[in-house]
Amino acid sequence: MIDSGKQLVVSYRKRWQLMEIFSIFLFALGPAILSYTLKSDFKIGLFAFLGVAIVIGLFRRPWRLTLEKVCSYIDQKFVGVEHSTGLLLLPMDELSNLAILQRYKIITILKENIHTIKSETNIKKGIATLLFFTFLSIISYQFSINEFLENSTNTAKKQELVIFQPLDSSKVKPRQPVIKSQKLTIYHPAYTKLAKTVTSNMNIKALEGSKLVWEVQFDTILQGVSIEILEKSYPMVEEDNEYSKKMFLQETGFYNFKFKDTDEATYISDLYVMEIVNDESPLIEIQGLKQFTSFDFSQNKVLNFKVELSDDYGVDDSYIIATVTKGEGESVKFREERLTFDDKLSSGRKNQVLSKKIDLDQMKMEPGDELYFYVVAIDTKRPKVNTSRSETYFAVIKDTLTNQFAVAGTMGADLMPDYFRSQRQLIIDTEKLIADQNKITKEKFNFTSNELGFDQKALRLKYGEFMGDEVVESNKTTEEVNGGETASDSDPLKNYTHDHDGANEHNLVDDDHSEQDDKKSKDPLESYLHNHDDPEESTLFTASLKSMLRQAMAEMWDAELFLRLYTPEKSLPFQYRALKLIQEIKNSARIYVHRIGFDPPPIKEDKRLSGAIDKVSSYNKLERIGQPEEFPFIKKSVERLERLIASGSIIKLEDRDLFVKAGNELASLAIQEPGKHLNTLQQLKWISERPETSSLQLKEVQKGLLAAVPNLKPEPKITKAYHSEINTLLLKELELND
Amino acid sequence: MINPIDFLNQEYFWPLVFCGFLLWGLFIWKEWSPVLKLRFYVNALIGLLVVGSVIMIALRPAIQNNSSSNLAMLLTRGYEQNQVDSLKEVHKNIKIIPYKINQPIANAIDSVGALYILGEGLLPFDFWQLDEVPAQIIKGYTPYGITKLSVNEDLIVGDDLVVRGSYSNGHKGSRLVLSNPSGGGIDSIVLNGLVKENFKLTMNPKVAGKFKYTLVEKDSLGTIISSEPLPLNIEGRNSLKVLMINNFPTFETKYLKNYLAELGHEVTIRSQLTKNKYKYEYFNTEKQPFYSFTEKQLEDYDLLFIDSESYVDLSRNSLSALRNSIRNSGLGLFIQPEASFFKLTKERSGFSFVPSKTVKSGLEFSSNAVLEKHPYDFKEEHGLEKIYEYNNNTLAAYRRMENGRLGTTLLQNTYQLLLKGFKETYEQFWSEIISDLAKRNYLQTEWIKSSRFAHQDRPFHFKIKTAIDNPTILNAEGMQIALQQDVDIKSNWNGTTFPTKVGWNQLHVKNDSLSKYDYYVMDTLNWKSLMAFSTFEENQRHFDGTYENQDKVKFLVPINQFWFYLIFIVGMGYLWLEPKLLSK
Repeated sequence: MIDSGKQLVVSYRKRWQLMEIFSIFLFALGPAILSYTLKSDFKIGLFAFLGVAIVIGLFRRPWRLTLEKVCSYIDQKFVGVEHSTGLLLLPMDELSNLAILQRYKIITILKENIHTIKSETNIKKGIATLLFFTFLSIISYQFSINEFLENSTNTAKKQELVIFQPLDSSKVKPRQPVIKSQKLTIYHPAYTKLAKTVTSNMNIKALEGSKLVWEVQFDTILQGVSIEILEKSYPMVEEDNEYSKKMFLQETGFYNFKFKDTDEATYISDLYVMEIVNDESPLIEIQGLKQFTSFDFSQNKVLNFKVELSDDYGVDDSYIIATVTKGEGESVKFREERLTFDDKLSSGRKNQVLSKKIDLDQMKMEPGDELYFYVVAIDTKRPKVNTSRSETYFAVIKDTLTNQFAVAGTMGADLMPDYFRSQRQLIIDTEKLIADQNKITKEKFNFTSNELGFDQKALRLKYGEFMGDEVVESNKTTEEVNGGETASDSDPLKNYTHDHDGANEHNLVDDDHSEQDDKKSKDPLESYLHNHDDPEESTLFTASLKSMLRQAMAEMWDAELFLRLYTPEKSLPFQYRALKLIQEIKNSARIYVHRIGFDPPPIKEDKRLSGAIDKVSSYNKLERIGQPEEFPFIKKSVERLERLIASGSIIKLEDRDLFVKAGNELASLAIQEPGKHLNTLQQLKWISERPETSSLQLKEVQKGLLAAVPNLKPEPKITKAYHSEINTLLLKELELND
Repeated sequence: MINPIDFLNQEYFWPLVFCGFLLWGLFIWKEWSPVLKLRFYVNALIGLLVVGSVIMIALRPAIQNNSSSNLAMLLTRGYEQNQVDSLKEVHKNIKIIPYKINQPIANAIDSVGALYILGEGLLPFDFWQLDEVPAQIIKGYTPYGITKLSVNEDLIVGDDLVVRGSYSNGHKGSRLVLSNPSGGGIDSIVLNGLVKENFKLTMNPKVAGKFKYTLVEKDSLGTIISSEPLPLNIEGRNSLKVLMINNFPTFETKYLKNYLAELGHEVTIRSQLTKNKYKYEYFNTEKQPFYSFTEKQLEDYDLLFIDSESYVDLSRNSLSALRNSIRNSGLGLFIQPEASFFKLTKERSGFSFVPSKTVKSGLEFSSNAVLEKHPYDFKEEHGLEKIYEYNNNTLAAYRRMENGRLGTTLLQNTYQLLLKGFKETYEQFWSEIISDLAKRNYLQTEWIKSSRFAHQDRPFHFKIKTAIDNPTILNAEGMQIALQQDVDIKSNWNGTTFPTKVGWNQLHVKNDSLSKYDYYVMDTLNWKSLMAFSTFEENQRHFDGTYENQDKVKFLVPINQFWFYLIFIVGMGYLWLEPKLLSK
């Protein structure tokens, strides 16, 4: 009795759930019937049924119907239970007496009336849906919508299938042999690590060296099936009524199938593309490094960079080729090294980033040495690998020694600084001053002379620099010889010099060392003494050159002296001598250049300019560089087609030969622009194989071929003319009267 | 002009006149009275009139007359009904005769005094039918479609073909498309629908052979309205044999040689290295060294390039051999000029030059190219044939020397066009010069078609100029076609053939396989508008109303007897009544 109350609700719930499932079944059955009628496929019907059922089931969730829900539902639907159905679910001992009484009451009421309470199910809706879909199914069946649908899907399928057309329509049987199955398997080269591709699409686009396997099955027995690639024909091997052919992809082109049935009728298929995809060379990208890096000797000479390698099928190996150069010019020495990356390269990966640290010290590089390096990457392609290399990068350790002027550096071009020329300028100015002596005031004359003396001094100091002398601050060494004027504290020559007159006018030399210089150059003649003991004496010049320069400076010294004494005419001879010496120094440098340059073999005096040409001989050259006409067979075919169309005659054997050759020419174009020429190529194939064709088809081919012929270049030509007596007479007469 | 009077009963003239005078004499005698009053003279005169009219009744006089009573109009294709109506209104009894091509109309025009021709007119071969009748074509024929057409017939592959013409009364928005044999459009224009508009279509044939191009008219929706064949016999290119002589190797020659040799022309170059030492280069040809010119050696070449120094240095023998070769065999000579060339006498250089200040020049066919030029200009004179001009200055020209041509240019270093990337311009420049100067391919027989198109079953007139005595022309079927020799020029012959087969036909000279002529025979329905317009023009020329045939016809119209009877009755009446009324 106690349980029977709960039992009532439970059984009610069970009934409800059953009804729910039934309604789901009804809902799902409709679409299933419709899809079955449309597709005539049991599987699709079942699939539709299950699909809809699951969707609605998930939506309705009949298993989630709790007893509480059922109770509250009964409370709502049946007034007689007085909203007390919930009492049935509670355990007895939790109920008050009144509640127990009520419970008994409810049980009795429910027992009688529970069948009348309708559960909230969609049976009616389900039936309506079922009826609706059944109606749709009947209609679609009646109007054969299924056939329409089937056709459209079938054609989509058929497009994939190779379609054959008979070459000779007279021999065609009412039922042509049809392909039952076709399969093309592409085994990619091993290094690509790609799985084989199986497809029914006969257009091939694969890597060079891929292995191709065609497998074709027909519904009837045939005499033989072959694959035609350009002009060549490759028979397919038969095995259990299945024809297959294995081939390696070697060249880009077009192919088609051809078969002969037992009644001698020949059929050919459309053309299919056979395209080779090239394996790309690896890409190298160097990150975090400038193309040109230079280091000072004191710097931390480390190159740190990353290399990003990428390839379409994987990088096999990569390394750095580094070259260290030592020395300059003739004495340069090279040392090549192969460096590996710091990170380990995982062979076969498509993308990887490797880092490298090059320590120039470890490369045993010294100041002035240069490092050139580039990265090489090799991909996995076999048997012939693709190699690519990056741009070359440079790293230099600055030479602490060579950053100076060197006379030996004036090879061909005159790189000498302007100072060397100013001696000539000084002479010119001095001569001008002497010439103008009568025209200008004495004061002005003296002033100018003194100024020239300063210039002479500046020049001398410059030469001193080349000699290896320390730079001397001008105000410290200048002897004040102008008695009429008292020297100012800061710069006694301030009034006579322009601000660009200083020795350091281009700030070539730092000013900071004036103190030290002062101490060092106590004896102004010290540097001009011929002191062999002094290790400082080792300068850039050979002894003679050095002595000459020293002599020149001595001359300059004297020249300056006389200029300062306002006697420029006395100074001139010294200046001239200084100039001559400087010229000699320059020339000696030039001679040095010549000596290390090309040394021509001596010419025999008696041979020179003798005019003997007996060794010179006439020269003959025979060459055939005429480029053959472009697409001769296409052009011939166009012309031949025109005649065929006009006369309506049958295509002969030699025409076919011509069309095949034209087809080969066109194929080369079609590979580049398949969209433009493929259709023509296909049709050309047809007319070269078939005995009968319509003039419309010929016209179409002609149009395509004409479009393929490129425009001609302007070319000289021979024009026709008629030779007549009267013309000749007229021309003669014209010329006579001219 | 006084028309002589004819009498239908001419044979009775004298007896009747005699009788008349007799009768009149009798009458005068009857009237005779001793006193001759005015009455007598009046009566005598009237008596003469009466007798005269009786005689006239008997003699039946007739006069030559353009009487409107016997007019007719000949309706040919394209006539307009309102013209017919207007004529009918003016001439009530005008007779209408329809015209049928090649049908005799003699019976219909038998009694016709004069004829108006309406519409496009008679076909020329029917003109004879109206030889006896004065006829006049009425102006006002409106042509529709292509009314004029000009196409260059001698075509070599790669040359531009220009189709010019005019179109009358087209539909606005329609397109005229020049199509290649397979129907692909090459060039087109849109018509404006004017009474007459000119069009120009160009194309560049890429393939040699006999092709039927078409001129298609399409409406704005692309529907084909008409399609007219444009048969073209496109000939292939021949390679030239070129000889180049240089005093020293130059860039100009080097690039020109490369250009020509790459096209497959046979080029021989001799450039001097030093005294009596030469560098010979043979491209696409056999080895054939030579040191001086002989006529026989030069015979093989089509064109000789020579620099002016070499030209000046030519020995007397070489020069005369060269000149003879130019004159006789038609060799072309191009002199590559240097500064000294312009100072040569006209006898030596062949040209007269005047100094000029311009040292740069462009080219008319290429807007960007600028070339260096020698500071001279050609002196305009008789016999100077221009090849290139720029701003009215001749840049390249030639002069004919009998069969050959001698040419030069003022431009220098034209190879710089190539270096600057104007490859096409360079090629165009030289191909034109070379084509103009090169030796012509002399033909034994020249064919000239006199008819514009050959239509099936219609006469096709042609003319040949040939050196052959009494040539025999055969058609494709091997039938001989009669020829008529020109009265004045013995080498010219005229002929007419009636092709029966549509398509390409051939005429050839018997025993001369090279002298053949290909022509396309089309259906009579093709080029209707063009043919109609040319027929109309021919009719206008022939029936312009001033032709002699206007006067040839004598058609006698008898004078109406009524007038004679009237004179007789009135005269007799007077004579009868006069005594009764006046003698009271």
